[in-house]
Amino acid sequence: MPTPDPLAALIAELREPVAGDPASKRRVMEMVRESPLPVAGATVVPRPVHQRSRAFAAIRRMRGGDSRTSSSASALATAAGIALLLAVGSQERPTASYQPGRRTGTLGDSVASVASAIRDTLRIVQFMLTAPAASRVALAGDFNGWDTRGTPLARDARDGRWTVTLALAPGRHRYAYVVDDTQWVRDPAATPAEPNELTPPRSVVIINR
Amino acid sequence: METSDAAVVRRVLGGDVEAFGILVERYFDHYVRFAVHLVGNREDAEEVVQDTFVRAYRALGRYEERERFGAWLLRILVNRARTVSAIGRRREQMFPDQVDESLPEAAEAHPADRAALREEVARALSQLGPDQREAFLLHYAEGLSYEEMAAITGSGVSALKMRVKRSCERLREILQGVNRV
Repeated sequence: MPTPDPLAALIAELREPVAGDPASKRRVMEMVRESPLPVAGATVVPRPVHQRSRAFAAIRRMRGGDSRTSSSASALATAAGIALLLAVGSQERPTASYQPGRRTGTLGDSVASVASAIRDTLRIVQFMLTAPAASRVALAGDFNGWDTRGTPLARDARDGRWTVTLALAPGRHRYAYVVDDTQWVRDPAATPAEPNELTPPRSVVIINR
Repeated sequence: METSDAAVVRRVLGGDVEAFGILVERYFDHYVRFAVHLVGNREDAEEVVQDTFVRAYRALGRYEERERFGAWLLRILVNRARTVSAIGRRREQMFPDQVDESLPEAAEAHPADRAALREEVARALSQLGPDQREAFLLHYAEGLSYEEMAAITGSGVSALKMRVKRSCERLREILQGVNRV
């Protein structure tokens, strides 16, 4: 008589139903109700071109010489990144802020067309990495479950800059760029997250309310 | 007639926040089961699944209907579990005396007992490396194909097949060792 495979009992046990704690489910819904309403297609919300150029100009003024390079990023030669924040609100005046340095500036342009599509609790954030040698760049962060594929950056063939624009809730977000699916790159222009942590390299962006 | 996941997502994105509760009811228990085996204890598992749902809600605008909602959710869960497991491993290195409190000795005296089997399973899985455990559970507990697993984990199909094969070999060794006691 053949000996039963011990794995069969284990696999059967793995498939036995488990009841989640009802309190955990209630807690999920409480946190959901406290969260901003998600916006369909938020990653592709367009901004008028003139606002983007104004935003870049403002950021360049605010950056000064405060850029850092990581060992991973140095392999990419001219890698440099920024996270650009535009406050979006139907009532408030839009502002741009940039971390690190906690310097802020005012853009002045109305972004009411975007605000109509996004709740006033969200902020439009543009992430940018200059990596002309890369074939693919994606953004992974705690806001997308560290998904290394779900948030690809689009490349500008003229200058090798990769960008993506997201709608994020105010707060502290950790993120990193994933170059060519394998190389985790900290944003060289942002605050490193958990500097004592060995892997992977991460940065922090703080989005003000 | 049951509303499809995609239709529920559209309701939520349309402003019906409470509709998200349908997805919670539909997937929560199932993924708690998966997370318990993946992270090794109930408390962390509940936390991982809670966090998964909240993150999924906040990222719902980026969900694309061509992907199965359950698979999209599982991808978030696997990433969260990796983070929790990594923190757990660091904690074990820092506080080795506190290890394994959630994994009691397998009750060899009552092998037919259900609780003993559960403990034996937990103990066996805990002896796999995190990548092997993850691959094994996705394949055998969730019944995913290697292609689906690759989409969720970001690993290649051949690497996943190797992990599953080695985890099966290792588990057989462990289980046969226990049964011989």
